Amino acid sequence: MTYRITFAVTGRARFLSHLETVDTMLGALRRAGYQIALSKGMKPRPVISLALPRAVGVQAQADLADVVLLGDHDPAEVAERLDAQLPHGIAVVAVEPAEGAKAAARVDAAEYEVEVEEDVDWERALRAFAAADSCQVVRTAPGKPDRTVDVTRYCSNIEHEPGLLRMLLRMTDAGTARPDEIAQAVAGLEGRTATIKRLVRTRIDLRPQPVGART
Amino acid sequence: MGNALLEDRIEAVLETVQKPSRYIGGEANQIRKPQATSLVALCYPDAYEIGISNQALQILYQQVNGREGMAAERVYCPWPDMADAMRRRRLPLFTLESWRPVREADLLGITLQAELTYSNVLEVLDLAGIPLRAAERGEGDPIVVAGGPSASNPAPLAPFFDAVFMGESERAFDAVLDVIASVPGRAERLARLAENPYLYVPSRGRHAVERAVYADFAIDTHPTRVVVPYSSAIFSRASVEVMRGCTRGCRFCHAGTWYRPVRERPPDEVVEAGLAQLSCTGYDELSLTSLATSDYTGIVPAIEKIKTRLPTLHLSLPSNRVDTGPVALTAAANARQSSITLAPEAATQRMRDIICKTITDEMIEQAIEAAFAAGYTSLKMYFMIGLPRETHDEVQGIVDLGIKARAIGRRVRPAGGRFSVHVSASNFVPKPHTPFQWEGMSSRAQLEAKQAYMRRAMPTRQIRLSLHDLRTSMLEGALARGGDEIADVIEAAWRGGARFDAWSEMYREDAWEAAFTAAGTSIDEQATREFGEWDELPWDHVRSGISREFLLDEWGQSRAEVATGDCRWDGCTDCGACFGPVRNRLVN
Repeated sequence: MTYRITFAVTGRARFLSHLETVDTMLGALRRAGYQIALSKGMKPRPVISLALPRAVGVQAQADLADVVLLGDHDPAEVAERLDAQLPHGIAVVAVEPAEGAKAAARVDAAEYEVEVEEDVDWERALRAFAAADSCQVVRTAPGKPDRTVDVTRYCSNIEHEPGLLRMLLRMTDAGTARPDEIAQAVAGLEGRTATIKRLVRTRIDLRPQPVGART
Repeated sequence: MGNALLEDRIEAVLETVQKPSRYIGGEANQIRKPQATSLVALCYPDAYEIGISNQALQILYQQVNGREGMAAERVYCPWPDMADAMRRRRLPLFTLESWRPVREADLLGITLQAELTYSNVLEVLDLAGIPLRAAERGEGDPIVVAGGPSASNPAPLAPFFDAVFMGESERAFDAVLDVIASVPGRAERLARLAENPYLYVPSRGRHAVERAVYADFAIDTHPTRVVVPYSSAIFSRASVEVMRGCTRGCRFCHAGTWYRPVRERPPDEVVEAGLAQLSCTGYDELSLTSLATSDYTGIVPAIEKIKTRLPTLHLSLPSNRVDTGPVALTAAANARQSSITLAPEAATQRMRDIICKTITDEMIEQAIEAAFAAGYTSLKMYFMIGLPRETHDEVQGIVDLGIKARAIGRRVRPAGGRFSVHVSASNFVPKPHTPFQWEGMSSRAQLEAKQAYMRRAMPTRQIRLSLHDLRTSMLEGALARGGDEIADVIEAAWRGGARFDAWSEMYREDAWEAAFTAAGTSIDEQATREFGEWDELPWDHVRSGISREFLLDEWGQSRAEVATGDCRWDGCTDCGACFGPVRNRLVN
């Protein structure tokens, strides 16, 4: 039976990497007394997938994990027992039975809150961002040539309130943009650099069907 | 400074470093005791992922936290990027559990599991803001106590410790904790600690100190609710120590003398402890640990009982004797594993007689055959080079055995079945309290030539050869049997940038060379130094319980190329380890 776990990551736990988050979730499920189904093949692995990897340092209010447990369980009980075993900073928001394609194949968008200093005229910068045909960001990676990406096509909505940018970022076949990248791109339109204090992923939106699935 | 402020500052630093999860604590089974009146910081002076798996510290963590009013909190050596950031922002080294400054601890316990962590000891003290030298510490500083196997030669780090604990901590370390709990004041505490027979207090001169032996080896001191590391740790599995000590008598092996005599735990207790730890941790693998688990006389019932209760459990038996029986046991215990490790240590009978590794060519070949027949597709074999009185024949023997293993694999594995042989050769480093403590390490030139020969002579098809970094082996040799004079060298090397010496990419040979040169010596001179029978050794005041006469006899037998029997089966060798209730205790 597949269960979709909605969970929050706050405090020090936000410094866990994606892989560490997965392992922490698996360990907690086992301590809670559940057996996790193993994949078929030469090297059987527990069947679990997180909808979207979370960058180290980013908090999450409602990240999603799909896990296959042996046997049928009451989702409310899974939520309670799992929550009791998770380390401080990771908390279960909800557990529900999941059907169809796994969440990781259906991510449409993710909403972020970026806590920023008010040392940029964000309202004016956002008007410029909305009016711009494109907004180029240079991505650097060690050992790879720099790449220039237009980030406007990934940002379907962005709003400002004092100390905060709230943005909805689309996951497309061609890729996506990081929230800090968007904040810097917007600040760049004012000739400034954003001071980012905190990054929070507030929700992950799923499509009804996986990308490219035949209907 | 308020703790909330410190937390904010730590979080700000964590935003900027690699693998910040090394510093956050909060793992499952971590213990926090905010009401405790004494704080004991327990340190493994290497990176989190190395230190978190250490059994000794897990035992101490439970031992300290089991006391009312006393909290144990963990600390590891920050990686250089973190250390740099901490220094820039004047952030003191903090414990993982409550992010308290280590300097606020009453006691800082540092385990010395390897010589190549010595420079990290100074790094930890410095980052904590604790004066490096015990003589410079004052009332507000913790009592800094070392322990662990490498502390058996305390000389190289002696000035940096207030006290050095010898031997096994269970029960015996309670007396140290009693002093911390009941005696206020640094001077008074040190005076009381100096009365402890298992503590060496360097400020009182080179006085005699005994090794604590945990005679009962009872299961209740085995930690059940162990801290579950984040996924980066080198070992992520439950483990039960089934037996302590080994009397095989391998003459190079420090643990083989330091943990005598042999004490086994009853299989029923092992099984219960293992199952309990599995359920508290959520691990899917259980390891039955000891110095040589196939020698544990309760191994068959222990495996059967565990398999009956948890048929699909991944059960691992590390450190096995090279023989067909242990290979079959390992295969039966764990169907998932595709690789098996054998440690013949030496490839010729002559050398195995010199080092007292009592296995024969026939046993090795049969074990290799049994491993491939059992379906293993990867065979690892561990050897040492640079052993005393080694000739070209011994080095050639390792190459030949690699080739022979491949031939056996080709014969036994089904046609077209893929397999590989992995030959690993480390460089012999003589250790204190062993029959080889008087021997010098082989010269760098000799070892280089032997490594080069093996690289040339070992075929590469289906055989992988790995050789240990010669530079760090030589340093290990220079530190392992060093005297008091090495302390200044270690400090100078650390000031020159040495840290994380066991990590090849971090090793700063320039810093170490400069430090040894400044002291009028060299790494090679120290490492290759031979001691005479009548020389005073830097660790002579440490009474391991193993008599000097026994070690000398064994050294003589090694020169005569004669192996000695195991006292469990071949009669007492009069090594001196047994006294009163302390003696070999087997379950079968």
